[in-house]
Amino acid sequence: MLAAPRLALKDVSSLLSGIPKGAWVALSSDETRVVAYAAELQEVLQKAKEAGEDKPVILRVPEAETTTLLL
Amino acid sequence: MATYPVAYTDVPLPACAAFPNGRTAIRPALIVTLVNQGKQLSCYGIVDSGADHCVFPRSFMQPLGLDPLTAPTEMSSGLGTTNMPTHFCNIAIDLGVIKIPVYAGFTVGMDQLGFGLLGQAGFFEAFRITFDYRNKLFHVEIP
Repeated sequence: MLAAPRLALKDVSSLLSGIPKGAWVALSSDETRVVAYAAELQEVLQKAKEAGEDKPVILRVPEAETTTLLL
Repeated sequence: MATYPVAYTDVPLPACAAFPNGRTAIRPALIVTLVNQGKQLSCYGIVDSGADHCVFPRSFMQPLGLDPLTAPTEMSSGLGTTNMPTHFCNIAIDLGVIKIPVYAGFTVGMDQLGFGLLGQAGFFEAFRITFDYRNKLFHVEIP
């Protein structure tokens, strides 16, 4: 198996358990911790930058209870 | 040419009327970094053969220095959404092992989800993708 760190994904659901629905979240680039969260994307990017995380992974906690994805 | 096996991502889902015991969805996702003229933003992208293009939340445009007022716009539709303005821009998508140019769409319809779709134009045309759901793996073959 070839090494490709950026292709590896982790189950981050436990990290998101206490974060309000609808919040934007910045994870550390290795996906091991929440760096910041906020209602607005710009705010979470700013908080991540202030925390020294230059390359956060951005995601959003779903606002609705909808869980099945039909894309 | 290199082939990268990638594990599907486990997504635990809560119990609901249709699935009283809850369940775990597995999704073919990657971390991608969107790049535009020195600005970048990393997010999750679901590999979606049903998407015509690569699309991302409209909120991502501002940190990437993209202007929705000047970007060409097309109305797009997905499940539950129709005629959503989608702004298209030339960006690069960096997978860590390779960076590809993509004419990507940005739409408010993706903001609720907070991740992107890696679709036919741009992504599937750059890579050979094979899905192996039973073994919870998909493969990204880079020519």
